[in-house]
Amino acid sequence: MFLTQWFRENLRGIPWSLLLTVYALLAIGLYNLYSATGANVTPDRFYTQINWILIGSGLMIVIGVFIDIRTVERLTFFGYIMVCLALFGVDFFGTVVKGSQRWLVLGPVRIQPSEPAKFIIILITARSFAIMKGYSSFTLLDLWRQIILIGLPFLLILGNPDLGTAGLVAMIASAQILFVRVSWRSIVSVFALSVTASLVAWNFVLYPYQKSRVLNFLNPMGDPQGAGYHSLQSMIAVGSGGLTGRGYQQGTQSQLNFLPERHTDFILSVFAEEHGFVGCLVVAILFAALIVQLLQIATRARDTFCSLVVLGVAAFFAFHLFINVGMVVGVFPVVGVPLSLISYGGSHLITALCCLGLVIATERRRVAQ
Amino acid sequence: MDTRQRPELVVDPSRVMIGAFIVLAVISGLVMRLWYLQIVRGDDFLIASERNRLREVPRPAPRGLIYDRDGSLMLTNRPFFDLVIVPQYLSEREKTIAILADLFHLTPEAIEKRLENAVSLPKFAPVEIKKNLSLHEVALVESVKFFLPGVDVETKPRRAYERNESAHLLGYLDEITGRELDAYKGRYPEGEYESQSTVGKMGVEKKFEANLRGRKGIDYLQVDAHGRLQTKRNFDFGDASAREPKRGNDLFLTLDKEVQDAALEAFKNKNGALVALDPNTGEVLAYVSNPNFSLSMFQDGLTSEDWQALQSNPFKPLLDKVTGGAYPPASTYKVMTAIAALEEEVVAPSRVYNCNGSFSLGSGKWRCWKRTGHGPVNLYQAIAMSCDVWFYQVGNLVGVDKIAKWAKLFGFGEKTGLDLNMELPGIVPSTAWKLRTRGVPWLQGDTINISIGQGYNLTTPIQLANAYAAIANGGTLYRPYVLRKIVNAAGQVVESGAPKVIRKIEIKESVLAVIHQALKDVVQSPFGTAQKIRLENVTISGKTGTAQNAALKRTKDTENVQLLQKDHAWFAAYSPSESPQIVVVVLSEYDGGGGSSQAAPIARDVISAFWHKRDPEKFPQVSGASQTKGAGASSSPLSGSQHDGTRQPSARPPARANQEVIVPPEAPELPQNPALYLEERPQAPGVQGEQPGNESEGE
Repeated sequence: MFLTQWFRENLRGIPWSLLLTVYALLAIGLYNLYSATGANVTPDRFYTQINWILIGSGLMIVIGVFIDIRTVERLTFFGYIMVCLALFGVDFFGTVVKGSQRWLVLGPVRIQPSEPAKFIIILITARSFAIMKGYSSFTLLDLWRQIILIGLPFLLILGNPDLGTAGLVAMIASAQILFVRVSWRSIVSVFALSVTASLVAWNFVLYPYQKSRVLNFLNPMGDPQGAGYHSLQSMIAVGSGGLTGRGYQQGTQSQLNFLPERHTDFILSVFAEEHGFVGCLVVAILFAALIVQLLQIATRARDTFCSLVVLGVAAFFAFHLFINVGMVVGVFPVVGVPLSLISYGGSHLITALCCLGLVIATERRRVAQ
Repeated sequence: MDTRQRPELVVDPSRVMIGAFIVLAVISGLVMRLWYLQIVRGDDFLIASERNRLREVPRPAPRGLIYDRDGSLMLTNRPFFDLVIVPQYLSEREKTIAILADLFHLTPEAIEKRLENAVSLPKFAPVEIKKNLSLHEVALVESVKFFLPGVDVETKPRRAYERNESAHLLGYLDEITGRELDAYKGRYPEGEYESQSTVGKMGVEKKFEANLRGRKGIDYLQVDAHGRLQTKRNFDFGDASAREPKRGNDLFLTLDKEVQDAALEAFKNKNGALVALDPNTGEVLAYVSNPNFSLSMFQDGLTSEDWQALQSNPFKPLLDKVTGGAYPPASTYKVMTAIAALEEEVVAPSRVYNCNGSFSLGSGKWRCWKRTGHGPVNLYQAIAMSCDVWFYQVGNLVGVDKIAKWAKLFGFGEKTGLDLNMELPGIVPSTAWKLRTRGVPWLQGDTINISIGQGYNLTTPIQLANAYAAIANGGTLYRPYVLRKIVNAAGQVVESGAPKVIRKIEIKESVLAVIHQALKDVVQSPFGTAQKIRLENVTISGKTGTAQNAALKRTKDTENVQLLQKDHAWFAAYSPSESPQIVVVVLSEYDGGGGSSQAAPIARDVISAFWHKRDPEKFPQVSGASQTKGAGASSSPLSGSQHDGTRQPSARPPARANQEVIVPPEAPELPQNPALYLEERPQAPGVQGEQPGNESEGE
C-alpha cells in the first residue's frame, strides 16, 4: 500500500518513451559490443559494460527520482569547483594512459574528470543564466560570467591535453547559449570575429610546422605510416556492410582487428559492417528520436535552468553523435570522441546516464508543478 | 502558473525549433553518407575488405614433364622439402638460429642474412633457409620444430634430377632476373612471373618455358591486421576462389633416351660436344656438351664456390659447345673440298697425286700428317687415309671461293636454326671474306690450309652434323630440331615439331655416290683411318679430323696454355652407309689425340646404341669409348710434330698447323697397296681420267 503510494508520487512525470529510446540504444550497444570484443572468447569488457550500465542507471535514478532538481541547481557551483580541481589535478598529477594525461587515479578507481566536466558544464551554464533575472535579451557584454565559467574548465581540459573533449565542452555550452535570447547581432559578430581571427592566424601568423601540429593535434590517432589509415579502415568496414550487413560476428574488418579502437570510438563501424545500412538506419532513427524528445522536453520546461539543462543534454548527445559518426563515415577527422550509449567505456556512459537523470528530474518537476 | 513562469524563461522556443531542424538535417546528412558508402560504393568496399583479410599464397605449379621420342621419361618432378622460418613467430631468435645452424651445417650469419634479405616479404610469410632437405633432415626438423616456434618445413614440387642429364640440352632453372621479368611480364598471365620466380635459363627449359611453366595455384589464407594466420577462430567467412596449380604441358623431344644415355656414357671423360641427328628429318637424337654440369646444383641454390668453379674452368662448362663452340673442322672439311672439286669438274675421283709427305707452294711447304707420305693416292684413298697432300693439290686447283660456295650450300657459315642455346654461325673463308674482315687480299697459301679445314675455317659441331646429314640423305639440308610434340594435361597435342628443309642442294647423284663411297672406306676399308670402329651387321661411314690449336699459343690464359694447345679430335659419322638413319658428330676438344682414336670410338658407341635398341639380337651393344683417356686429365705429351718451323711462310697467319696426327699405337696398319681397293669406285662425270697439268710433285 505504501509502495504503490510512493510509486504514484515519485514516478509521475517520468518520460517513459525517452527511457525506452535510451535503453533500446543501450541494448543495441551491448549486443554490438559482444561481437566487437569477441566476447565469446574474452567476455571481460562485455560484463564490465553491463556493470557500467547498472551503475549509470542507478545514478540516473538517484538524480532523476530522489534528488530535487532545485538541490542539483544549488549544488552546481560546488560540483563545478570540485570538477575544476580534479581537472587541475589531472593536468599536474594525471596518469598517462595511451599517450595522454587523461586519467586521475584515486586508489583503485581511475576516472576521467573530463567526462564529468561535460555534465557540470551543462549545469553551470544553465545556472549562470538562471541567476540573471530581468533580462529579456542578452548582448555580448552581458555574457562575461559565462565566458569565465566555461573558459576555465575549457582551458584545464585543453591542458590535459584533450582537444576533443575541450571542443565538445565548448560546443555544448555554446549551443546552450545560442538557445538563449542572445541578440543575433552579437552572435553574428562573434562568429564573424572568430572566423576572421582563425583565418588570419592560419594564413599569416602560424608557421607551417605549427599548422601541421594543429592538424596532428586534431588527428591524434592518425597512423604515422599513413594518416587516414583508421579512417580508411572504418570506411571499408562500413561500406562492406552493404544493405543488410555481413552478419552478426561475421564482420571481417572488426573480427580480424583491421578496425582500430573498435570497441570504443569505432564501435559504430562494427555495427555498420555487420548489420549494414538497415541496422544503421535503426540507430539513426533512435538517436534522432532521443534528441527530438529532449528538445521537446526542453521547450516544455517551466524555468530557465531546467530548460537549459535539457538543451545542454540534447547538445551533449547531438555533438557526440555528429562527431563520432562523422569520424566513422570518414567526413570528420579522427578525434577520440565516443558514441554515447553505444561505445564501451564507463566514464562517458555514466556521464550520459547522469545527464538523462537530470532530464528525468526536470520532467518530474514540471509535472509536480 | 504557466503565464507567471514564462517571462522568466530566457530560452527562445523558435531557436529550439531551429535546433531540432539542424539536428535532423545533420542526421539525414550522415544517413545519406551511409547510403553512399554502403549502397552506392558497397561493392568496392567489400572488395577492399576481402583484400584486407585474405592473403594470396601462391602455390607453385609443377613444370611439365619431359619425355624422349618414344615416351621414356627424361625429366620429372618430385616434392622437395625446404626448411623455412616465419620470423614473426620466432620466440628465441638467437637460440633458434644457433640450433638450426648446428643441425643443418649452416652459419648463424648465413641464416641471419637470409632473414634480412626477406624483410620485404609480407609479414608472416615463410622465409626459405635451406632448400631441398634430405628425408633425414626433414625428420630432424619435425623432431625439433615443436620446441622452436617459427621453424617449419614447406613442400614444393621441383625437378627430380636423377643423374648427369645433359645440362645444356635440358637447361637449368634459376631465379628470374630483372630483365627477364620485364620480358616475361608482358607475355604471360598477370602475376605468373614475379621477382624470385624460377625460370628456365638454358636449353629446353628455356625454349619451352611458356609450355613447361603451367599456372601457379593460389590459396587464400585469412589473416588478421597483423598478418597472422586465422584458422582457429570459430567463425567462418566462406570460400574465396582458391585455384589449384596447373601443371605445365609435357614435352616429347626428338631425342632417343637410350642413344642419349649411351652418348653421355661414352663421352663422359671428354670435353667438347656430341650431337646425333636423324639425317632424314633433322631430328636431334643425342645432344651432349662437356664438361657437363649438375642441374641440381642450380636447383639446390648455387654457392659462390660452385659458381667460381664453373666460371674458372678453362673448358667453359656453361657454354653449349654443340652450337656455341666454333672449331676448325680439320679433315672433316675435306669432303667439302672434294665435293667442290667434283662438282666444279676440276678433278676426277680417280685422279692420283703422289704423296711424299709434303706439298710446296712458292716458299711455303705444307706437310701431310704422315711424314713418310701416302704414296700415290686417288680421292677415295685420300679421304679414307685422310691424305693431306692430295687435298693441298686439289684445293689449290679448285680455289677457295668454290670451296666456300659448296660449304655454304651445306650450311657452313650460317646458323642451323636449332634455336636451343646461343649458336655461332662459324666462318667459311673466301677471298671476299678476307678482304672484308681482315682488309688484306687472299693469298694462295691460305687456300692450302682451307682445303683441309684449317686456317680461317670455324665450324660448330651442329653445323658439321647437319652438313653430314645432308650428304647422308642425298642433298637435303634440314633445320635441326628437338621438339616432337607438346601435350597438354588433357592429352591433346598442342604443338608438334616437323622437319623443315633449309634447302635442297643441287648436287649431282654421281658426286654424292663418290663421297658416300669414300666416307664408307674411312671405316669399312682396311686402310681407313676409322676402320677400328666397325660394327657387326651394320655399316658406318664417317670422317676423322684432328684440329690443331697451335695458334692458341698467344692465349692470355697462361695457366692453361699447355692444355689449350692440344688438338681437337673430330669424328663425323653416319650409319648405315647405304640408307643412313643416324648422323653422329663428336668433337673432343683439347684432346691431344686424333679423331680416329679419340672421337671415332665415341661415335661408334652412340651408333651401336642406336642399332642395339632396334634389334638387340642382331646388334650387340658396343661400348668402351669411355675407357679412352680423358682430355682434361690427360697427361699424354703433345705430339712432337705439331710445331714445325719449317713450314711457316712469313706472310701467312701464324702457326695454323695443318696435319692430322694419329697417336702412333692406334694408327691403322695400312695395306701395302691401297690401289687394290680402287676398283668399282663411282666416278664423277666430266673429268674422268683427265690429268691436270700442274700436278708435278716436288721432292
